[in-house]
Amino acid sequence: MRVLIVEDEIRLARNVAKALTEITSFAVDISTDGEDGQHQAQSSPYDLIILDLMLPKIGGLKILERLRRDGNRVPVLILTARNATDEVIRALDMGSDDYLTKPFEMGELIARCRALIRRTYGHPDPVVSVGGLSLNTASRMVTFRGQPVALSAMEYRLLEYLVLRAGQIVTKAEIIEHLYDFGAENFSNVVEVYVSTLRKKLDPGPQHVLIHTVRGRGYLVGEMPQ
Amino acid sequence: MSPMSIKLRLSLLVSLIAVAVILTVSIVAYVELEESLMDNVDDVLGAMGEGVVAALGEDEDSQNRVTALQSIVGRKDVRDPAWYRIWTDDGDQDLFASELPDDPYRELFLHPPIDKRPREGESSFFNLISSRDPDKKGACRAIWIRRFFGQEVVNVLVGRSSHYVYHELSEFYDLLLALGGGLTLLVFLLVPVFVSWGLNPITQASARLRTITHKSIGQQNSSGAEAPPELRPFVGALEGMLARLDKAMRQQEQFVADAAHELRTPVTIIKSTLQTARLKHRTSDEYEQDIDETLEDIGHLERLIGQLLSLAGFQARNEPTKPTEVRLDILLDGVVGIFDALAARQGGRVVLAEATCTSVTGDEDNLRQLFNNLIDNAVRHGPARGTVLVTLDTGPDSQVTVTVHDEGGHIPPEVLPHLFERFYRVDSSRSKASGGSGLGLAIAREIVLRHDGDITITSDPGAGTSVVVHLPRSRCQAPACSSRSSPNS
Repeated sequence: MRVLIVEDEIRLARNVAKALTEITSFAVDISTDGEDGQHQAQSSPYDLIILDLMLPKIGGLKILERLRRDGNRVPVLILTARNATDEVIRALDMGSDDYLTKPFEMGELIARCRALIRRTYGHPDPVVSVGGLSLNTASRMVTFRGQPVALSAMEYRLLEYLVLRAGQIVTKAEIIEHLYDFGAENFSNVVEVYVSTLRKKLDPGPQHVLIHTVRGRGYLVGEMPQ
Repeated sequence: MSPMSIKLRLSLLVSLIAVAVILTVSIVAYVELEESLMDNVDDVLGAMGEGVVAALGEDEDSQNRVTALQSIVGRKDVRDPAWYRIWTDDGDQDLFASELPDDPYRELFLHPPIDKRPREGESSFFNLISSRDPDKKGACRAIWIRRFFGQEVVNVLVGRSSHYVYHELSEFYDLLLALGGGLTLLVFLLVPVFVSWGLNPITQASARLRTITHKSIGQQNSSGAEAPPELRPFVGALEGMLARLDKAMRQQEQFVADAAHELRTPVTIIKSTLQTARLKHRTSDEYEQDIDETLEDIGHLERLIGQLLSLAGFQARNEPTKPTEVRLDILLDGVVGIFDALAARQGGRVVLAEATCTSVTGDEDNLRQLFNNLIDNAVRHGPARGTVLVTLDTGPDSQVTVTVHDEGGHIPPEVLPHLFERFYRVDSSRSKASGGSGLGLAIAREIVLRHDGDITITSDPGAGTSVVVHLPRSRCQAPACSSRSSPNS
């Protein structure tokens, strides 16, 4: 999952990014002014945007308004320093999905981020099960046929994305867009490498029953569509 | 003891006046009635007396005279019976006398009060009222005539019952009592009502004042026109006061809100740093870095609190703490020296143009803070390796002008007026890059205003940005200058 933080207090943004990366294995991009934030939000398919309201150049609400006007459905969590209810109402009415008032609890922010992303992919239940695989997005516990499976951060990141989109064909380009932050060096064959290690841990055997390859299009978790 | 209410005072005053008027009118009416009734009786009595005297003068025999006298004085059975006695000064016996009334009036007829005795040839009217007849049932009005008949002085006393008069008077008295009492009662009942009505505007005003809270204080207007003319200045003054209070309170609220907002930012960063550090075990290097960052943010918090306190302190105090003669040239030289040393590390310069001996009256600490803030601002907002030029001019007028000029970029003209507002920043966000809190210029303006000066800022893309401070020049500068050496010498 890939998250954009638009926050002009660089240290706060870095702390949030660090916490999100460590706890949720999200890929995080940071933008410290409104203009750059808007550009990034428009150019990459983020799974969540954490948006401060008081930003240099372009205000947070303006960015939100433009994103929604362009038809962008990315979930947006507003960070506000003012404890003003009318401002919160305005932000929610303009298309944001959630809000937090500064100073906030890091744990709460992370939990809200997870919940927002879960719902975006149509899984209100934190535990997602598909074909004998059970993935708890809150605790990051993965079990396959009842056995716990230990995964690296990158492996988990990939599996979570594929599982949340179970039943859909996921292209390699989508995987790269959603799992790597802007600064990461990515090579297209990295995806194949992680898919093969995941298969080794979860889906050994000549016939892949969990992660299917759809030739020329991408990957699919769960039942193959007819 | 609480003071008497205006309503009670006015009611009492008006009621007392009304009662006094009722009482006076009643007494006058009573006296007038009594007089006029007595006059009527006296007219009849006078005529009777003259008749009796005339009858005495006629030469008739005694029996005829008695008949004549009887016909004059009238019959006994009429409503107002009359009696008479005629005697000489010398004689012991009455010459003529009618049947006299019963006691106690018989006695009064036989011995009329001697002080009522008229002189010879004259007559007097008086009342015959016995102390043993409190109801005045037998009271009489009498005329006493003394005339010379030959050598003798003849006394004629004619009395006529005045019971009717007293009856009338007592009826009138009862009427007055009922009427006056009723009126008085009415006055006591109605006056408070009228006074309340008259005081209604004040009652309404106080009722409105009672509803004013710190939240609704600004919504009290457009009611001055409703007040009666006498109250309008009062209401106007009150409204003015409320408006001023409202403005002050709004500023205070804004200040508190801004301050809370400003304090929240470093607290949020510190909290996020520490919470992130606690997410998992880290190396001691990582912990040290987190501690250093936290300390740095706490330092920012401390500076912010200090500035907020000094700003709040300026607003709480009205007068500069200790106005003294301050040598501005020496003060500026010191401040510029410190900032020049700091700026030199980044390759910049802070220069004080040649300054002549100048002093102003004020608080030296405040003035130092003023120029600290201005020069600090210029260094931070000017270009790297730029020069900040500070000039001190004493014009021909009684003003001292200090200009702090940097080579910084253009500040849009529309934001210039806002620069001295608290927490105002040009980019509408926290400018952590330059480290400002948004309070430096606000504090500077407070200090300048407290020294009866003014402060302006101009910005031009070509020329840079200049902050100009005007301060009133101290009147007695010569001794201060001669006693100290110039900083440039």
